[in-house]
Amino acid sequence: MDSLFDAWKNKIPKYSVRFSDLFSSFAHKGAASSQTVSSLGKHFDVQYELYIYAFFLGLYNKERLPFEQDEKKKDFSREIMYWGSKSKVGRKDFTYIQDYIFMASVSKSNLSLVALDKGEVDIKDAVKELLKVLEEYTNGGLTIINEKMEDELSPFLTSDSFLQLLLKSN
Amino acid sequence: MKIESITLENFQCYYDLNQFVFERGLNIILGDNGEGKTKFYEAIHWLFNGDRFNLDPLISKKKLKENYNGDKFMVSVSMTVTVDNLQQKLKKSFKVESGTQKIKTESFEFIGMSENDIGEREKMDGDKLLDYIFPPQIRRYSMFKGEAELDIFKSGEQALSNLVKSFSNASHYDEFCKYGDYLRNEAEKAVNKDVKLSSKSKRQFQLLESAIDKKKNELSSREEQFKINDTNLIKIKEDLKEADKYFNNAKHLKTLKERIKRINESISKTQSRIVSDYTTRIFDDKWILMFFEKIQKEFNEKIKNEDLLRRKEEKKFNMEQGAKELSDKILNKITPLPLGVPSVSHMEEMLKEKICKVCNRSAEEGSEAFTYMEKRLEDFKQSIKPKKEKQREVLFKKNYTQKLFSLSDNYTKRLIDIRKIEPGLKDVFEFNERKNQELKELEKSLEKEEREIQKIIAKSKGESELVNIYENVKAWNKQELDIEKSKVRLESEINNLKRELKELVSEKEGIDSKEAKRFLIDTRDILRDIETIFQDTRELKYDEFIDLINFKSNEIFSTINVDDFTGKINLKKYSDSRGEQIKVELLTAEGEYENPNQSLETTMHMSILFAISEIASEISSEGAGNYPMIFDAPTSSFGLKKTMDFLNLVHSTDKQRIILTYEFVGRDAKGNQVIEEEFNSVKRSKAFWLRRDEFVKEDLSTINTNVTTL
Repeated sequence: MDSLFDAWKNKIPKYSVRFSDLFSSFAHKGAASSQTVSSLGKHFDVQYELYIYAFFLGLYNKERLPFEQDEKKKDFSREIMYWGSKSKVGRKDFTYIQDYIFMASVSKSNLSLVALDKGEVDIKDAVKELLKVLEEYTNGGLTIINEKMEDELSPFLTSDSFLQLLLKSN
Repeated sequence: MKIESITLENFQCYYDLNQFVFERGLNIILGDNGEGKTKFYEAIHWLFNGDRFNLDPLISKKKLKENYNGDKFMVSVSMTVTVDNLQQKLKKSFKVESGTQKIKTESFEFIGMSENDIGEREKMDGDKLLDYIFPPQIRRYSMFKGEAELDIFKSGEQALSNLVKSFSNASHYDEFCKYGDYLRNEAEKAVNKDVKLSSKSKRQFQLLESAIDKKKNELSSREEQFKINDTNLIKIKEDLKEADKYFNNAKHLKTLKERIKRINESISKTQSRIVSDYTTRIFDDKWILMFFEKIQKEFNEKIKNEDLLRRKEEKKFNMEQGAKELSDKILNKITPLPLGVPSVSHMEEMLKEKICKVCNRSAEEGSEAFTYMEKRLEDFKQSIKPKKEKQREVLFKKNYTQKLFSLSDNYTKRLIDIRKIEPGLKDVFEFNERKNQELKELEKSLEKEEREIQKIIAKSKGESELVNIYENVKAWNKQELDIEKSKVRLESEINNLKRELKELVSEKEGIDSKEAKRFLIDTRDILRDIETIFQDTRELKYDEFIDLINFKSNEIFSTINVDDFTGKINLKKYSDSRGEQIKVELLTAEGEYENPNQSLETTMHMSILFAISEIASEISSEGAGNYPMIFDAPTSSFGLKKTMDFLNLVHSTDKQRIILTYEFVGRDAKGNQVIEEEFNSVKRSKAFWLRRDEFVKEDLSTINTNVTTL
């Protein structure tokens, strides 16, 4: 029997197609050397980095935004269990991030662990609930980025733009 | 003559129309290196000397880009001058048609517009008007680019003969000398002819004549060789002197280049240390967790509560289970016999006989007693079989959440790492700020060193020439030695030949005196004297002219030489294979000052040029009086203080001078160009400031010089 964590990390969360442009503008789809990342305007080495960033941005800003009904969603075919694996020269492994996302999702969910272990709640439903939390905070974070793009002229030109936005969350 | 204005239209970096309106006296054009000073100078040079060929490089790239679709526009340089209060205008221009593929230039013309006494204007040929208002021999001494060009008497130049031709009356005696030479020659021929007619000495005379001719040829050949050697030696000595002069510049250049290399290394090292991969570090250095502590606490609280609830429910459940089992036991108040009593064989016997032999009653099949016995036997058989643990009922049938409890414990211990993120980030920002500051300082020093290099190159002939000089020095030194040895040998040969020739001539003239008719001898002697008089007079006039330049040069030199140098300029005549030449030297009480520094040399050359200009205006037959002079970067070696003194002295002469210089243009703290305060104390009639618009290095079409009148 898998643990809740194991069942959860096998999944791929989704994001709204409204934000596809953000992913194509700021994140590399394939491999790129990290030195050239910012110079091309692509701050994130891989797409899930932007996803993680948006999740924490939404989390720290308490921006939990459920999807609209019938909202079209997409993902980037990368299960959570691979997030943070060292893939390029010069980068570090940050798979620790999976634990933190999981902890945050659990604490922000209404899931009763007692009920789950008692068998009153199905594991599939529990995983679904946790993914919902992850997706909704990410949706909130992506909305913050998108609004900044609409309100300001080239707000992410400098290499510290995303860090500064994160710093403002507190 | 006074230059009233110069207008540049789409000429190189001067986009559209740019007019410079000049005053009498000192006009200064300021501009940092590369801002358009030399292009201005070249525009005037083109106006005076340019032809219809190779026009493309003269076109403003900005204008060209603007008109790429085939529109036509003009490129021109024009100058308006006044001569005797009458306005004269020169304009050289051509039309440009630019297409996407190629540039077409057409309608090249050089026109003059001359005003006459009654105020009418007449169009005329530009070259004719130019020669009238600014004669070529004067133009030669009016425009100078850099310090090196100021040395108009260096070898290879025909400056002296031009100068003498233009301004001294020594040249009037050239014709007399030529005629004197002819007459003396004819007289000598007449004497020779007469002697040859005499039969007495005919044979001896012929022998002497042939010996004299032979000696003369030998002497002439040696002298020719000597002169060639002399010319080469002078050239080599000048080159060596020049190399010596540039040696310090080359050395300085080398030091600067090494410094620049070091600065560039520091820049790239500093740049590499500046943190710029912020987004990457958000993940790799866990900055993403900077505000996670609150969430962690929330999670811990949830886990704690769940754990509490879990234990509570488990306790309750366990208690309920225990109570149920106990009540079942209490309900069966009778304590049964132990299993196996009676024995299995007794039980099987009783069941077979259908009689309970314990209570001694019949027990029919199906009766309560029979069933009881059957159950007892079965229970016993089961009890002796290996026992299966009875599955105890549990509350938590699943164990999905075990990891959550360990997560809470493990990451609580690691909270200290999260608390270190914010101070760590602060350190990174502070470090970057320090490094950026360092970078700014380094870039400032780099710019300073690069400007210094530009100054050195401006003072010298250019970077590659400096290298060439180095390579040639060794060869020149050897050549100098060889030529000097050969000169000594030739000199001795020439002296011997001269002595021998003198003896032969004396012998021949002894025969002449005896054999030729007296009147022929007398005529020859008179004509010899006349030729000498002509030559001496010409020499005298020549010397007077040189003395005049010497006098005026020293007069000016003593005024503008702001160093403590107390020596004198001396223009010295000498003769080589090219004829008479002038050598300029600086004399001190101890003799020739061998290696004057560049600034002293420039002051010397400038004094001579000003002297020539004065002489030209005094004796000018065109009546134009003073002529303007234009100098591009003439004081590169002076430094700011000396340039200021120099300009103030030039101003005091009240002659029209246009001087282009990069001095007085500095930078403020932000790196923007500014005019330095010192310029306020420079006396001048007018000043301009050349500055380029912001431009893209790779795109020439973004270059445009703006002219500001200060």
